[in-house]
Amino acid sequence: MANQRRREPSAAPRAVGRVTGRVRTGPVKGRVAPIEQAPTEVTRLGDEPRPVFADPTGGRRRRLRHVAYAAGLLVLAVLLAFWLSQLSGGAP
Amino acid sequence: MAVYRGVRTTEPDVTTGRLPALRRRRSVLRAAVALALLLLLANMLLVEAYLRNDFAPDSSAQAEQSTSAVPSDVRTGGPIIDLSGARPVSYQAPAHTIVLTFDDGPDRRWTPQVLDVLRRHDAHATFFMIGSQVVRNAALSRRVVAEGNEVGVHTFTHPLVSAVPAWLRHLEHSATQSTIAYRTGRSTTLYRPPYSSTADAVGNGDLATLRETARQGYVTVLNDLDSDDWRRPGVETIVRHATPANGAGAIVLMHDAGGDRSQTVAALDLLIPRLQQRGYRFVTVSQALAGRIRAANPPAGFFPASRGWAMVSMVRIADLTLRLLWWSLFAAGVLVVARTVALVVVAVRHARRRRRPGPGWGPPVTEAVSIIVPAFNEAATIGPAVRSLALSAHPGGVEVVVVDDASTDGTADVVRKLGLSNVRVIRQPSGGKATALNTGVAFARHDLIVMVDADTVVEPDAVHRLLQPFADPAVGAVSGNVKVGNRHGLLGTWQHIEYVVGFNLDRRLYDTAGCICTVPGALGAFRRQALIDAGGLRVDTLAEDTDLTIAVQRAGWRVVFEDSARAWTEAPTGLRQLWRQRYRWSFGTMQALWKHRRAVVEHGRSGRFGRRTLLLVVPFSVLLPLLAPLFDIMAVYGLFFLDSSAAAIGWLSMLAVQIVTAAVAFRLDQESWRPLWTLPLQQVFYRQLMYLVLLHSALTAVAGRRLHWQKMRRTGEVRVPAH
Repeated sequence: MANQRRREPSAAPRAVGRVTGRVRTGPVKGRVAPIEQAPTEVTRLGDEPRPVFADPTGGRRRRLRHVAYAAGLLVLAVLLAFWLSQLSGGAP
Repeated sequence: MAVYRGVRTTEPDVTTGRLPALRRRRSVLRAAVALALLLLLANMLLVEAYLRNDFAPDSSAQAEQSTSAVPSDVRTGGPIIDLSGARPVSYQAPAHTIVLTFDDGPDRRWTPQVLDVLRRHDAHATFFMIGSQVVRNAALSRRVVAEGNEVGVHTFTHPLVSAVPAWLRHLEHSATQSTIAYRTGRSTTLYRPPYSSTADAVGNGDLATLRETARQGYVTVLNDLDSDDWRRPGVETIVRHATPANGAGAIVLMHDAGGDRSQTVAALDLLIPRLQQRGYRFVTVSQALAGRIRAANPPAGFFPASRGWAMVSMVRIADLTLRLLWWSLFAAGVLVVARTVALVVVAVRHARRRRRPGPGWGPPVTEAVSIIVPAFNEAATIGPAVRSLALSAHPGGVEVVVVDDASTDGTADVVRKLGLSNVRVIRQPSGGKATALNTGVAFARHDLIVMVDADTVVEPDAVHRLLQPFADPAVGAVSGNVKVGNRHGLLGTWQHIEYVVGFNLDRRLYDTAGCICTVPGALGAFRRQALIDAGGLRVDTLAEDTDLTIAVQRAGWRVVFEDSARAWTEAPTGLRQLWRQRYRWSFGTMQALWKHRRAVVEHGRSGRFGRRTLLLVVPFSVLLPLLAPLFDIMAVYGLFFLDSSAAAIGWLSMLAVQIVTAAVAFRLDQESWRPLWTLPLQQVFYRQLMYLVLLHSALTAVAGRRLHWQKMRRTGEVRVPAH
């Protein structure tokens, strides 16, 4: 990594990462002509990386939802049953 | 900092959202689940609070009550009262019979001693137990019954029964009944109300509750002789109080819990043999009244025992919950103290080191620089932002590359109209902020690259100062000092405080430790080579700045903080905007940290960075915010149910720590202390809001929902203040 970093910086800027659109520019002399008028076209990229945590099928979400509903209902039922039962006792 | 959105595609996975009925039903269900969990926590806390509510001793003064409605049979009759029939029936202990009764136990220390004395003299007694004590002393309760003694109900927590509502009274009795059933296998028909005394003291108010307990199936047992042992009057006095006159029988009141009972134990050891010599026998209530009342402790049925099991489990879980909360609170407190000490010490030293006159980073960096401004519909703010950038004072010259991500509000025209020769506008098809930045990097002519948000105005020398750390060839990226430009209103002030603390304390600490996790999109500088090593900006997280910063460091570059490079950004002014911004930040940060999780176990620089982050950033920036609401929960809980002054002191000392920390940060940044008066308010509103955001984004992450960039409404009011 260290020797890579010391590499000579080249004069021509390079594209890094993912760029949508391909750009052709001519040699630049003096003041730069507005580059936004350079002819550009849209290129289709291959697979975009899937966003971190994303779950496209929605299966994880569905499971989580069901588990949460079940747990919530269980908690409510247990609490209700507990307090009702505690209120129901008397001496034999 | 910009909240920015380039892509406006509909999410394929939320199409069900278009069905309003389903969505409504889901949100109701979701609220129900949240409510259930809150109820559970509240239930545990309330159970615990109710159990811990210390009862006053038997001595508490009772108001004199009218006795007009009390039947004379009751007032003049014996202390054992059965009100279940049409006519009240009272029973007296037969002559030469002592029924010893012990209230308030079982007690871990004194009940065994009382039982030992009883066993030594072959005497039996009746124990009126407190339910909450039975829960916590299982073996002792069993021993009381196993040694031939009787047990009765003395309520669950010893309240003044005539003062509590009927349902609660019922609960107090039935919970005690079932707990005794579970612990000893016996049910009981005996009942003694707390703070009771002799039959002739029964007032109109007591009568109603006595009738009620009779309907529940209990026989009420009052007393003839009060030993007054709770006053600790001396052994002989207790013996005298407990000795009946002329060979009469008596129900004697004593206590086996509620304080030092050594006098009671010693008095028993004198009283029993003394009276036995006079022909007295020491028996239980139902032995004394054999044939006249039912057996007091028949075996318990399945249902009362199960109810007892449920109650014991509930109390155990509540105990556990509270203990867990206290431990978490303790952990949070330790974290806060550690963070405060580390922040203040490290940040002050960091600031001194930076301000020291001298060569600083090395020879001045004067290379030309490219400034990239990604913009999507920023017409309101981009004018001043680009002008401030283009007019930056930097010897090598600056070029500004505005990447217009398919704006629809004429952002590009606004920039063009500025007529600045060193500004270029590049339009790209809609692609998002990361893509726009990549485009900008591709078009940038120079190898030092500064990235600035379109809503951020920089000071004239900010760009030059930001580049100075590049004199060190190991530095790959520099973070600027971002300040809130619109500080009016409470929200603006709170964000201002947050930014100043975040940049001047946290960032200095992380800088010193070498684990800055975010070079803010609002103002940051990169070497082109560092960007290439990091693989450019990625589109798979929402916090592309955090993602990039981590990648740059994992590639082996240093990332530093330059506090003198100041930029003024526009903070969200509305709650909804703020929520969205923070939601995206915290979700994006989670994504970035998770994405780079392997760094923790890697070798070399990447691994060192990963482990430093895990040790420093995760406890302080992830764990602590998650534990923070405990301070509020426990403060409220303590205020109402525990020691309120201790709770208040605890909470206020937390506030004091926050104020001191913030004051140090403001001093380091040469800011006025005036906004700090809003800190107490911030503690009771803003912090909780941030916590909810954190929770929301964590849930989104777990559920795997896809989050998109959202555009923020802008006012374009931020200017660099005159110094």
